[in-house]
Amino acid sequence: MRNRNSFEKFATLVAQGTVIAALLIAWEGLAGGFGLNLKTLDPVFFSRPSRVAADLINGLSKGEFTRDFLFTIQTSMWGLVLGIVSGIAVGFLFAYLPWLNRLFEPLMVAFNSLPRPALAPVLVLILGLGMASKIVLSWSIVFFIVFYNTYAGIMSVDPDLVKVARIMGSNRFQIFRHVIMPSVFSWVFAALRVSVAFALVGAVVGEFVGSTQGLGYQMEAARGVLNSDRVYSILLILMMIGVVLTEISKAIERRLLRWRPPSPGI
Amino acid sequence: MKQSKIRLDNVSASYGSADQQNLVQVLHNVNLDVQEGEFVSIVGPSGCGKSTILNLAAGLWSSADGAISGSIKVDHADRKQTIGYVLQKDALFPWRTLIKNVEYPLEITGLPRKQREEIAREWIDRVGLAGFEDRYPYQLSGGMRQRANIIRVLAYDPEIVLMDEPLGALDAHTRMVLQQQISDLWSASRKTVVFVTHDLEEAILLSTRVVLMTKRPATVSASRTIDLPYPRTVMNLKLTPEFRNLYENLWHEFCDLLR
Ligand SMILES: Nc1ncnc2c1ncn2[C@@H]1O[C@H](COP(=O)(O)OP(=O)(O)O)[C@@H](O)[C@H]1O
Ligand SMILES: [Mg+2]
Repeated sequence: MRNRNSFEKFATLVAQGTVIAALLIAWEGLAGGFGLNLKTLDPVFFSRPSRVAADLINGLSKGEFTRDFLFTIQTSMWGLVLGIVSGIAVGFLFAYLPWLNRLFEPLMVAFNSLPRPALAPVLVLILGLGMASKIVLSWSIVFFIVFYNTYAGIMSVDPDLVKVARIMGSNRFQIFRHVIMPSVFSWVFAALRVSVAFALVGAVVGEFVGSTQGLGYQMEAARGVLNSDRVYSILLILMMIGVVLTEISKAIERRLLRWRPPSPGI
Repeated sequence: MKQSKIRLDNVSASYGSADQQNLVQVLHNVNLDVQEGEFVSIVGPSGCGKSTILNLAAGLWSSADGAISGSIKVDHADRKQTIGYVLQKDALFPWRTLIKNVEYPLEITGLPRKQREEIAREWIDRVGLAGFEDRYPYQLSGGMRQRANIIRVLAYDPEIVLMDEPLGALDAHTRMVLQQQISDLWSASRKTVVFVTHDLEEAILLSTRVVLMTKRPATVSASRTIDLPYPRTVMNLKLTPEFRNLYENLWHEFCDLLR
């Protein structure tokens, strides 16, 4: 049984690797590689895996990504943290003060309906080319995710748990601390993965629009001089950042929400 | 000299607000006097207002729910943790392990960790849950959760225990095992218990007194003392002529109420 399981896992891994390898080989071949000189995918625009790998190794060894990498990471993490903290705080405020919720609801809906990348030019205009405009853009996405999850978390607290806690003699603070908070955090942490992904989106989009640093900025600069190798190298780096951040948030989620039954889908 | 722990005098209750024309009268002139050390079962058709009675006794009725009249007296209701209330649905905190759930009522009174752990462990052992202390509720079976639900209330030693169909959702076998455990726990502690059930047999097996309720708007239609000695063995008691007599007697009355 165990053997069969691990065999299946291994077979899956091989199959997955084959698909990726096939795609890379096709890309390489169609974009002028393997001495075939095919131009189905013009390497000026499509580059090809071998050139991207060479550029990536070269760039990494010269440290050409370091500054921009750190800038993008810092920006998105600030956006993430500020988004989570303010989202939770405002979520509680609105849930506990219904009049505030009523007052601001149209505004919140309007803002949340706004495609956030459209804010980027405005933010750059107001806050300049530095980190601030990107942090705010990143925050403006994360904030709404966390805000709505916090609000929903408070609204969907199991009334029976509150009832039970009250009968057992909990005071208001204890109910807040032991019933409401865990319930809300379960919603917020369940949305952590999405929040992290969108924090990165906000940072990179902001860098595209107007910046002097960041992976998005460097990519935009490379595009300007038709350096497609570099464009794809950065794409790859962003992909890796995304994967690592997603895995970290999955691990945090697993750890903090281990009291939840595993959903059949995962 | 026995003392009255819960006393309802001519209590009527309606859900909804009068101005909205949707006032539903649930209880009509209910009189109930539960003495110290009694195990009283309330039996009645579903929806007749049994849970409402427990909520009233637990002080969970707010004016927003509707209107009540009559008088409700609960001994020492102003003191904390006087009343223990076992809800029908096992309302365990899903983010706490079994032992942390049982510890909860002790934790909020500020009992030191070691002591509350000790008490919780004792109760967990007593109902055969040892070895499952660190499981989360989703990792326990329905019967285990219901046991945890009950001992979480008993762990803080309330003077009055209210139970709302605690075994309603369990299979026949688990049900009987837990009936036996509840009976044993009660004969050891002789606490004041109000036990709601829709199962007349269960009521007679466990109680010192059975109260029958009518359909909505409900009132108390009969109150029978069950003069069977403790400790009781649920499994055997069912087969005795004394039990059958009591059961048949009450069964006819119970059926009349459903008509
Ligand atoms: N919060 C409520 N608002 C309106 N009606 C209610 C509410 N709670 C219970 N009821 C109604 O009151 C009646 C009695 O309810 P309940 O006490 O839960 O009955 P039981 O526990 O005997 O099944 C039911 O008909 C139910 O629909
Ligand atoms: Mg009920």
